[in-house]
Amino acid sequence: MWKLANPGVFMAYSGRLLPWLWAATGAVLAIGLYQAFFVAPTDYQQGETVRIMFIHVPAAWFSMFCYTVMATSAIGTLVWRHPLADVSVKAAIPIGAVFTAVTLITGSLWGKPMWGTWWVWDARLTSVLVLFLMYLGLMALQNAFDDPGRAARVTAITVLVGFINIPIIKFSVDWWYTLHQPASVFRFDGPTIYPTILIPLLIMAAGFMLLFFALHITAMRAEILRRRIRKITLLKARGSTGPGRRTATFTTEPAE
Amino acid sequence: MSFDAPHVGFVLWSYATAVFGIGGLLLFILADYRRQRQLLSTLDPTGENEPGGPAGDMP
Repeated sequence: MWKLANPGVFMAYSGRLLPWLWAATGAVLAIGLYQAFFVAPTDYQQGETVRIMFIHVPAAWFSMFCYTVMATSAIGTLVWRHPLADVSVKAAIPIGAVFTAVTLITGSLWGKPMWGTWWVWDARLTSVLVLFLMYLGLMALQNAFDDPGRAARVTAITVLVGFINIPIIKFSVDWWYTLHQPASVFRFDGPTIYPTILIPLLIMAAGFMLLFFALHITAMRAEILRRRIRKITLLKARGSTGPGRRTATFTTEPAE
Repeated sequence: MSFDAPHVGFVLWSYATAVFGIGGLLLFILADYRRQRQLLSTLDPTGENEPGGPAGDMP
């Protein structure tokens, strides 16, 4: 595992994995969308709007999963100062922001016909909005420092502090009275959704999981290249390059 | 799916949001990755600083 977490090894393995991952993502999402539109039945109460669930729920799950990945990576940054950990955090932030935005917008589009309102300040909706604002804040924070090492450490600490919001989102529907419905899939007594709707939902969730990893790995590769470019540019600016001389080692921030 | 059922517009807008949101993110990430690769090939055309290259494996 530690050997794989070397940036050079990561680039080599991820380069071979990515085409298969993108192909699997496309295939699973295509099956999921077919199931969502043409196999899943209309809900007896919600009618056709139940189909919003197949995009809203996976987006919500993986907006929280993305933050959990970031929190795990933030521990890697702070405890082991692993070069890939900060790359992982930085690459995940925009992905989480987009997934959360999709969650909020599709939730609003589902809420209007079902609840009669686009938005209510209940605990679930508000805590997801806070998650979205946290993603935006982290994006700004990443770019607020000239020293990449300091930016990595401050971002990691902020990510870990903000992780408190994840259990709040998950359990908000149990802890407070909310307009949002309680959990229907991840329950101690099993899912309350009928299998004809649950199976397409789980297929879409699998598609979103593959999509998340494909996006995250691609964004990590771009970030590793960006840091390598920065290192080479700095070394060239210092005049340390030349024929037969040592140029740049393959390192990433926050090592410097 | 019945396209003349009530509230179908909300369903279609939801999927359009996801397609444009996540599709836009995908295009952004792929374009960024391609740009970094091009920049790196300009800065380091011989691959000297690549992992496995002459300088890339130096400690």
